[in-house]
Amino acid sequence: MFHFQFFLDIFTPLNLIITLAGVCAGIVIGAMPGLTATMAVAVLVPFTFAAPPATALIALGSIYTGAIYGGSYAAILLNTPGTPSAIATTFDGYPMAKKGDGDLALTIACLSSVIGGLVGALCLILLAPPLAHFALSFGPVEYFWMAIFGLTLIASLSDGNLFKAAIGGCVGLLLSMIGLAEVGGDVRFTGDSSTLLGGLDVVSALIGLYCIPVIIDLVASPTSHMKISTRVSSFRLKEGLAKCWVDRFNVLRSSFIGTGVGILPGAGGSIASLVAYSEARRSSKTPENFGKGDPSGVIATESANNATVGGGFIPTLVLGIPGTPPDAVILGALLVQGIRVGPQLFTEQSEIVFTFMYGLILATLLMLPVGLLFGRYAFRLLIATPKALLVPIVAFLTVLGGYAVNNSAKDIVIMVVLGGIGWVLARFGFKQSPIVLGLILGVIAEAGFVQGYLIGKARGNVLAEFFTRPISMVVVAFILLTLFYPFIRQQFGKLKSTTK
Amino acid sequence: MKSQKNVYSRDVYGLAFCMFFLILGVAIWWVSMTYSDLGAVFPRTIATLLILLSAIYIVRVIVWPKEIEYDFDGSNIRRILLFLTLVIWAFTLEVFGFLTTSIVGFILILLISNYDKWTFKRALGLVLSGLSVLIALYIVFKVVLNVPLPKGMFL
Repeated sequence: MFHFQFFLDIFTPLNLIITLAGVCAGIVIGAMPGLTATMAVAVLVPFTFAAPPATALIALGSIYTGAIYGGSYAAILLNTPGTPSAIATTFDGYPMAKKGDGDLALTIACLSSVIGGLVGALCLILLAPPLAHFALSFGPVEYFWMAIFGLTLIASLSDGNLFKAAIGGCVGLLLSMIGLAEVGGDVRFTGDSSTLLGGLDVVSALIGLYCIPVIIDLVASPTSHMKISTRVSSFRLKEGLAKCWVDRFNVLRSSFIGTGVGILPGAGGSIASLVAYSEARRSSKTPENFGKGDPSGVIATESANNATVGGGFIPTLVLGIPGTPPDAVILGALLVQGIRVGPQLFTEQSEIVFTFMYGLILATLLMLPVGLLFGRYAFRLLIATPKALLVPIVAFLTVLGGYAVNNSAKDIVIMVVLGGIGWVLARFGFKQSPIVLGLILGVIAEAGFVQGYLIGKARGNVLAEFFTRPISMVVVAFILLTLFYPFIRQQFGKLKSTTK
Repeated sequence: MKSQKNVYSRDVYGLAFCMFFLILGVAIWWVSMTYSDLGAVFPRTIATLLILLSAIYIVRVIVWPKEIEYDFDGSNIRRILLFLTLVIWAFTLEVFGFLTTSIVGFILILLISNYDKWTFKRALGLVLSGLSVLIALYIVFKVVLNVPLPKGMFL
């Protein structure tokens, strides 16, 4: 069979070694707070220039896959998302770790990432051209509604106080507006400071808001930083597999959400995991457990963010439009390799593109043993490290990661200040997650809103632009369903009990 | 170490924060008047939302007070010291160099976060193992990943 030859091509010793090394390097870089998947790919791109094109592509895909999964380590063990796509992993991963189930959370994250990655890669192999054209039907209005859909997650992060969560979301949205406006070019809320002209860097802000409050609280008491599970000697693989099997619908749904969002240029793993988390919570029988250490939350976010890898390659390879930021770096590497992306890639250079696609599957499968092994030792190492040593090391990692984002000391100042503000606000009930959500989705929401508004104005009907496009209406329906589902379910429950 | 769990008959801190956010929302509205229509539409929408939410919360706290518990557990002195160390670290790393400030910052935070009795063996173990991690990561970033970490006056 035509494809079978390409499948066999990936099993050369060079490809296998490169894939394994790429996955390991990606996991290690992704696990460090501040080092994103984009940086992992960008930093390691030069190492692939000397390799044959298919091998180089496999290496980059492996690094990317590993880095997205690696982000879950810091998210689960330190409450600091290693990459922005692991934000939602902190919601349930860290509470699980605090309860002594960090090893189980890491195993579940690994299993979900593998399944998500496989779904994304299979969609890439089977459905690349039609899905890429579907992505083109997403306009600014659809992006706006997607961002709003992500923001509805604030309701589930409210921790009993919806008003404080919504206020936190507004604060995050306002923070996202600092600097030069994307549409209009106004300089906003900078206080005439050149430091703030480029806006707040999301990764630095993320480290500040999540990590600094954690270390501030770690030094405040002598108690151990993590409960130790009695089952620490095992991978808890059986338990993890059982959880994933029970939650199989969640795994598949989140994987398809991840693939779908990954296809949309510029959306990325953070939106995918937030939307998947929101859907998982909405459809759960025990939504009240979300945010308190429910494995389903970890399953949803990790399967979704790894599915964006395959999904993101669809517009990158078919249309030459990067689906996610790391795809943009990979696109540049492809051009260096002399590969011309576009529909002709699948016919003219099919041996490269299909070998790469199967290579992505291999990388995802290799992530299972590598991830489980890394996860086990990362958890053990964290437990064995005395708190007095852990705190300064984490502080150093935050400063190092914060600096490495843009090679700027100003980012560290912003990170520390935001960390202090985040700690104070969290102390009085304004949690960090809604703020971060607003900060990340604000840019997409505003750009979509303003561009949609301009298009609508030019067409003479702004409301029609926002409320009559079919895809927009589907997203709006999901938003309404997410917001009112608890109420609808309650009413159905009442009706059912009355009938009985 | 102090352990305080304070129960309030109404959310006074939430009230104070919401008053601040309400003023912030008004200030944003006022500042946004200097922006173009396109640049102002989103800040105004969010500022309006912020004002409304804060106002509703203030009314709720005043009219329908609900008991709330704030947890002020732990040593606030250590928290403040740690935060100040991070602030000084951030402001001085370009002046004195990344490695120098990181070593000083590391040792200071080690002192702040330690609750156990210091012995020579323990201190040596913690400092040596910590510094080896720190220097290894510094080399990885500086040499392998080519991140231009600031040298400053020292290194």
